[in-house]
Amino acid sequence: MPVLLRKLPFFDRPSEVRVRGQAIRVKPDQIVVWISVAAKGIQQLPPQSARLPAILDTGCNHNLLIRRDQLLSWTGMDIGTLPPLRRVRVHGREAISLAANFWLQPNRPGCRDEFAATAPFLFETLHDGIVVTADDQDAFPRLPLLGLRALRRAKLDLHIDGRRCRVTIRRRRWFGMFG
Amino acid sequence: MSTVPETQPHRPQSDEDRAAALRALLEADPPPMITQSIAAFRRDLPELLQKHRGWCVAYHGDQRLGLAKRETPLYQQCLARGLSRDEFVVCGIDPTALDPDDEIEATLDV
Repeated sequence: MPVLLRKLPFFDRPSEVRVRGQAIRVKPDQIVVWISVAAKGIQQLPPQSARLPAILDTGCNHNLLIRRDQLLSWTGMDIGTLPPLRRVRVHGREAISLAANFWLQPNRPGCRDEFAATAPFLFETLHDGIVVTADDQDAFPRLPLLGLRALRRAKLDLHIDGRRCRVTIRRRRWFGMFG
Repeated sequence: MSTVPETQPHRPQSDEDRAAALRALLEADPPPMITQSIAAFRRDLPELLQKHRGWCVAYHGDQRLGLAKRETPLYQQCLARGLSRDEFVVCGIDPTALDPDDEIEATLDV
């Protein structure tokens, strides 16, 4: 099975990632992956596409949750550039799902914040899109969240090695996105 | 450690701009054709599940445009027809699709 993330480390102590020169705290035991957001209908991610960190959150039951201000400042995309699909609620608060896909950036084996030369993996979000929350005082989520729905729909295998603090994500040979 | 390549500088927003943006987000209604497309998909979903479970289907309002195994080629076909992105939706034929009670949860305090 092709490997998307190989021995991606997570840490039992705080760390940080840098996005556009900004240092962002990562808490202990958080799994950080790097993604790129793009419009739908693109077969190949443009090479200069912005990369942003996302926490792999198995408690998230959607594809991707991201704050509007982070979408704008990290990718240059504003909600006006992506068609809204429907209004949704996140923990009872209003949000909007937008017609966008995102790509998972393969890591250099053993490294979290360095990338392999292999092509990014496309998550086709279909009618669910990505969920954008308002950048209000609660500032939720603190970092974008990559949820289990994306992994399930893409039929990816997730392996978390708690002893070595490593994560591997593999994909099966593709015969169809669903079914 | 990788950083995001610099593109356009982002100008910090004033409180007024932030409030306006927040209102825009919460008041954004999906375009009518997208709402209609999603409604048509919901109506057809039981039938679609019998024959095409796991596939993708595109709708332009009530009109079904096509079926495919993946979203992207189907999306490109719709754009090639001259449709704009707010005029069609590509949906996944899945039993849980568009559950009206779909409540999104995530880990709090991340």
